[in-house]
Amino acid sequence: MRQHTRGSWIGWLFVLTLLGHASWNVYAFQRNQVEFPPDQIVRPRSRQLEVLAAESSMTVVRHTFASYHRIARRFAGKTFVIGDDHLPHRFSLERMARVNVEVVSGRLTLPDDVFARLVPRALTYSWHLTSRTPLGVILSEHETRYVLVSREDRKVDLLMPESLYTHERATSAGVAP
Amino acid sequence: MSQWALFITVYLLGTSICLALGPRRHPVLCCALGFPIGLAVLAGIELLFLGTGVPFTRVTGLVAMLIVFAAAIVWLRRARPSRFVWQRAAWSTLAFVLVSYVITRENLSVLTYDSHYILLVSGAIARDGVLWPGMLGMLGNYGVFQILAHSLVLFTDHGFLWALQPMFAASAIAVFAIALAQGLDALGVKLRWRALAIAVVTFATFSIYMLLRHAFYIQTNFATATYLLVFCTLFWLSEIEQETSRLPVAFVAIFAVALQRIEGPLICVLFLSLSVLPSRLPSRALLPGLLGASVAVFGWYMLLATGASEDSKFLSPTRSYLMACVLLGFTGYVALSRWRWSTPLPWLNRRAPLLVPALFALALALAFALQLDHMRKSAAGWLQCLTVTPYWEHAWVVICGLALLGLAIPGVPFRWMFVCGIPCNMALILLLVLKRTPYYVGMGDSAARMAIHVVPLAFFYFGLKFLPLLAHEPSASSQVTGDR
Repeated sequence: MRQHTRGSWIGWLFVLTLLGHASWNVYAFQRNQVEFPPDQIVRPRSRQLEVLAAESSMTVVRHTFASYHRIARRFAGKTFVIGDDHLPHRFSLERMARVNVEVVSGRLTLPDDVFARLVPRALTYSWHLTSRTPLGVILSEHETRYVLVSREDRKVDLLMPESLYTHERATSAGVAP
Repeated sequence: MSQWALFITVYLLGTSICLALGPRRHPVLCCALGFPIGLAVLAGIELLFLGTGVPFTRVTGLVAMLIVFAAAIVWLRRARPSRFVWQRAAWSTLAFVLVSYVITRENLSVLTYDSHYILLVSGAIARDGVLWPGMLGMLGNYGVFQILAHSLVLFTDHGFLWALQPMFAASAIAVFAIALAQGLDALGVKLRWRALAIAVVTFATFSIYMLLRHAFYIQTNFATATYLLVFCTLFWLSEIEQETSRLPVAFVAIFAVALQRIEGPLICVLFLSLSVLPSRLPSRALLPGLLGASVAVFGWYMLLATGASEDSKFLSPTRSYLMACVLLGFTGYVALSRWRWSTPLPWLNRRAPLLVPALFALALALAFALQLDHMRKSAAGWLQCLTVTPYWEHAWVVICGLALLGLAIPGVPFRWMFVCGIPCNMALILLLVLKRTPYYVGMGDSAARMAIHVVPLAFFYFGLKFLPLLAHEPSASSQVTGDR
């Protein structure tokens, strides 16, 4: 019969430690799967990045990143005209949301009453380029150029067809479009 | 192409490279290394394309892959591998195909801000195939490797590669188990229940919640742990067998570690100091691989420096230059110290396992002396993360306990990468906080995540150290070394 040395006892202690450790790991995994927030656990998820971003508990992801995916899906290849106050979004809009961007100097705005009138026409107000500012979207089927307009108080952005923007701008200035 | 087909392509590329340039006497190990090494080589190719301004598209990428694959096959045929090699490779490939099929069926990925950021940037690179002005600044926030790896989505019809992280995990598990088996063989250990013992160590390692979660979490940490495991195990096996065929693959892994995270080159130099400096392996086997990896890393960080922002809290141009030079400088030192006339340097190199921990201890003492509150707050938060939180549970208590228990028995030869590398890596993590906000208690904290990097190494070493005690014949090398 094999004689047990101090070494072999340490070896068995090692194996027992590992077995206990592994058993606890299994318990910890199933416990964490129950107790951790749903977006932090391992579970089957959508294969669409847009859906995953929209479901995120992180505000920047849910708002800004999800909006890049949405813009890419609906507007890829189209042209956005933005004012230089939106310049920080240029790179992300071009490379991540896949739209062409033209920058004009100054802010692109419309008066509050025009905004109020256009709100019902917006497809959504749940998009955001920045977390603080909701982005309304007015879609036009054949339009290839859109303008990103801010309300004068900068609390709402609106993405609208350029033709509509030109019309509203002229109307609000009292000039026949 | 589906994600599954892409992974098989990457695997075939990596396996052919490992069989051609690596340890072809061990075809199963080559196959386990196939996916991570194939991915690292592809990332290197893509980086070369992007860095030189050549668009990385489906066509150019496939042509580059075919050229590398053809070169590896030609090289492999010249070596005339035996029927045994082909048979083992065929069975291992079948196993990979089945495992990757299962893994790619369902998206189980966990995503946070970092994950979405990585996927947005990689998606942009995949679509455009170039680095636009402004993109380098964005790459400075994270390591580039994951972005390059995820940009391979361009070869598929998916939105993103949700199965990439689980593939890393599967590869890490295979490398861990196979390298541990080879390590026990190299130590002359004859275990009656060897496969079961290795399975227990492997399961105990990869069932830790933090590792398990990161096997699905799109981040840099599991991949860093995988490549660090590949480097350390291959280098240790080369050292113990005094056989150099594994080294080229080991240095591909070091290249991948350097690109994983922005502090990657520092991690590389730490582990290289404890492996290459005291090594008895010949310079002609060490230097080419080390130089190749260093030059590639140098090129990337120099390019990154041109786009990094001066006010970046992560990677400024100055830090980019430092990261560019640190690995190349180390390689220069290795070359100089192995030159026949550099008498005092080999003396220093042999003492690297003492000097490196001493340097880190000194650096930590200085850091605490200079920024006591900042360091104390970070250390306390990190310690709490590693010992009492539900995501690390008791894993580090077990690691520390086994390390203490190990003091009672003989050490494993060439153990410096493990016994000095792991504590020094922890010290490095603590030192990295000097230039950033303090570490905090939370699953997303950098330090809590970076602790993952060395966990497989710790358990690999414990396997080498403790399993021989269960052998029915004492191991030759344990008797020879006898030290602790």
